[in-house]
Amino acid sequence: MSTPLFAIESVSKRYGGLTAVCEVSLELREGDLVGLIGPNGAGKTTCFNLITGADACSAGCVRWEGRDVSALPDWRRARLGMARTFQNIRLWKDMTALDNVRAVCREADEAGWIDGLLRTPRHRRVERAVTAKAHDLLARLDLERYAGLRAGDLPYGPQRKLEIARALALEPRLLLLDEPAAGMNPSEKQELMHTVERLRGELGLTILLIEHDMRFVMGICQRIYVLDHGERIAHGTPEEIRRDPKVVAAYLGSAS
Amino acid sequence: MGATGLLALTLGPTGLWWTDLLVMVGIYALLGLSLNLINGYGGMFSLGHHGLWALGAYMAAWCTNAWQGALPGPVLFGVSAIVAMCAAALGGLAIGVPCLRLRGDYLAVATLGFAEIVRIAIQNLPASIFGGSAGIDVPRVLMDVTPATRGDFRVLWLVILVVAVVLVGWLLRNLVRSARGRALLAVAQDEIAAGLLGIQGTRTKVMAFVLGSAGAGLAGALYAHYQGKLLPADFSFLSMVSILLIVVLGGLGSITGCILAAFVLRYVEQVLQLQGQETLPFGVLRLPEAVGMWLRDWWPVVYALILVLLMIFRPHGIFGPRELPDLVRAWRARRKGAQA
Amino acid sequence: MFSDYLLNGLGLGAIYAFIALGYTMVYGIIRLINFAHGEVVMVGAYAGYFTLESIPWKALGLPTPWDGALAAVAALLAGALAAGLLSLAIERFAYRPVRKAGRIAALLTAVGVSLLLQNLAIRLFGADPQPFASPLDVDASAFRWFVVILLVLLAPLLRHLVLGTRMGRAMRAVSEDLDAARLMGIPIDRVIAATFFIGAVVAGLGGVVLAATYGVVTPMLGFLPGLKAFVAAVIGGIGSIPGALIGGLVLGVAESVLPWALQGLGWQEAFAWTDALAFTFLILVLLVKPTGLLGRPLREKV
Repeated sequence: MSTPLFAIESVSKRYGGLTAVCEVSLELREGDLVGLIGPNGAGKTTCFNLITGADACSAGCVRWEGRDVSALPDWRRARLGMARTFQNIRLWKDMTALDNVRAVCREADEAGWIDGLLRTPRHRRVERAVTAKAHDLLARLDLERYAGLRAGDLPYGPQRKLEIARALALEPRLLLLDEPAAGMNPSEKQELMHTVERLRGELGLTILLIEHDMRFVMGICQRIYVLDHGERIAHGTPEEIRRDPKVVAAYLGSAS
Repeated sequence: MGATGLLALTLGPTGLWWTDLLVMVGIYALLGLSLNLINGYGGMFSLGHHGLWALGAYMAAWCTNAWQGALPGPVLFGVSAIVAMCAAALGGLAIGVPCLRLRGDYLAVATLGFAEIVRIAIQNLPASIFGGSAGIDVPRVLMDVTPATRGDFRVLWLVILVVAVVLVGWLLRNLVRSARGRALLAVAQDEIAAGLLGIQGTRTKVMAFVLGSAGAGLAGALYAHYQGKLLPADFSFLSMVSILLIVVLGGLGSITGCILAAFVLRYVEQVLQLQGQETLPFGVLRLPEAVGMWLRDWWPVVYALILVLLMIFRPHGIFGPRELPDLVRAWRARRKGAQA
Repeated sequence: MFSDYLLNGLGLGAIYAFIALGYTMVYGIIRLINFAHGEVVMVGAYAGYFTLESIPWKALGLPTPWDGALAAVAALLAGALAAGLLSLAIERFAYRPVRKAGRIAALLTAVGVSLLLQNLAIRLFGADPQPFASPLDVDASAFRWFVVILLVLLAPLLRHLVLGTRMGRAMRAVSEDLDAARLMGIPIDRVIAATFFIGAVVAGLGGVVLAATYGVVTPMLGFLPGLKAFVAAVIGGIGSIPGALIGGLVLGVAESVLPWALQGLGWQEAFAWTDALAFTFLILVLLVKPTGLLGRPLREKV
């Protein structure tokens, strides 16, 4: 239990005069399932962007296994082992569900452009591996029947699950889920909760999760960080958070 | 049987016209296919493809002139083609590395600027290198014939172009179905998401751009050797619009559509040129007098109008990002559904 | 003489500025590079040309300096109006339908319109250059000064338009956030049309002046200056009106002075490569500071 798998230390993000995130710190140990909540506009997705490298921090640093990775571009961080889903679904809509997952598989690195052009044995080997893995991931999320369909044509719930399958193709150690249950009906949410927990066990994932649905968050997270107006106002177990007056005030002060 | 048919194809004015048409269709198809990799699958917007085509053509010309006699004809032809492809690829790299991190419309203008620079360079460099405004001659090394007997060897050119188009089409198809191809498609549709999932956007786009440029270079080498003479005016922005129209008409991201569009466009253009002549080669439509003459004169205007109307009403082109076989299948399925 | 080249450059630069304005305003409001803008310039030039040719200005009986001046004003107004109206038509019939189809479709449409206008002009006016005789009896340098002064007079007018009027505020709102502006009740279509119109009117002036400067009108008149004016807009910062004006002047001066300087340093053929200068500039600017001298950075939300 030495260094945490992942941490952000006193991270801030300023856009001109607006401070979206102000000196926020959080850390995750291997295997954790942590929630990140807060009223709308609290800076949760901005944090995700800072973590993954979609945006640069104005201050503070991002650590992966103790190493400062703040200077690394997004794709490098992804390859280190952090993958994410998006608040507004960002699937590659014109590609099939299977291809969405296959595009992300890192096994594909082995086959270069020439291999692809000429269909070399290496290309064929890589294709088999990647396709098998993609099918496996789709199966894990019960999406097999959508494999050949255009991702944009999928119903909403499966689209959200496909985003998760795609993120998993990276074989991440840290999975960042940005409102994975948004727009789902209660039974879909229940199913998602079980799926997330199951995947965590099966794949040994560490998970950081943004969600608005309190039942969802309280139901599966071990610990919760609460943000409001860009600052961290609370951190603790679901019970502690539920009772924290600051948290209650933050939520009552805004429509959520 | 086939050989006599092919031979008959090249005899007489009909054969001559058709082989010339098909060879040029082939060259434009190559240009369209290579641009499709960049603009279609790659989701980029290059308006400088004609500059890379020119680069390839002129480098092939220079190479052939420089080493004429030192190598046997066909070998020199092959070498010049490789030189052309490499030169175009390097040109693509030179423009791609700095500019592909720019957004769509900026890239369009940067590539256009690059093509203009190429044109100006060709015109202004010492005439000994590229011939300047007067153009450069390409020695006929592929076959040791005078222009008078050129017709006899058009079959060969036809074969070369068919092979080239099929080859490039096959390579493109392979690429799109491969790992790197999927990465490219992902980057084209949502580069930010791709980056966050480990796909390096700029590197992927640059590679696609370089490969597309090499394709243009190949088209350039074939063009140079077929025509026998190059003029800077051959590679104007107008030619870029032709290539663009082919890609758009055929559907961004459709290989068969691209080839078909190249044929349709070229055929219409050439047919219109012939209107008003006494005898027409077989297979060339004779339009009613007035219509034919009017279209021939107003073709550039009509052609631009087609592009505009196409973008307004069918921005995905005739085929869209699908192939001819897919469309046939879909049509058959719909018919079956209607009967059931 | 350096001052000659400098003045030349300023005169040319002012023309670029006139044209660049239209590019920058349209890009600022709907993120479209209006490829057809160069052809709008050309049409303005032809309108001015026909105004001069079809009316017997000298026979009107006015005293000598004034008949020329009247003709010039008429030509400028005709050019401006023709360009403005054409631009409105293009926006309404070609660009508006593709506004939703994505940037690439819009750009292709613009390219198509550009080609359409060029070829239409070739068919209607003939491909040969026609001599454009300036009705003003002034020498070249005085004319350059005239153009620069025109620009200097125009600039504060534009500034007032954009900062002081309601339409100007609406234009700025739409360029900041189109959807928000629509939700606030701003008539988007009308604002966009006005933007096109204003940019084209100024460009039309530029077209007439361009024709007068070079003494010819041809259907291809707008193509290269149009491209270069776009470069000028990018240099100054696309989306920024002062940027377009400054970028235009900078490019004009550079195009005039740099080849002269290089030739002085020994490169004989420097002037032949003048056109390449603008594009090299463009690529450099795009690499080093894509937002240009005065441009604002644009972010994309994740």
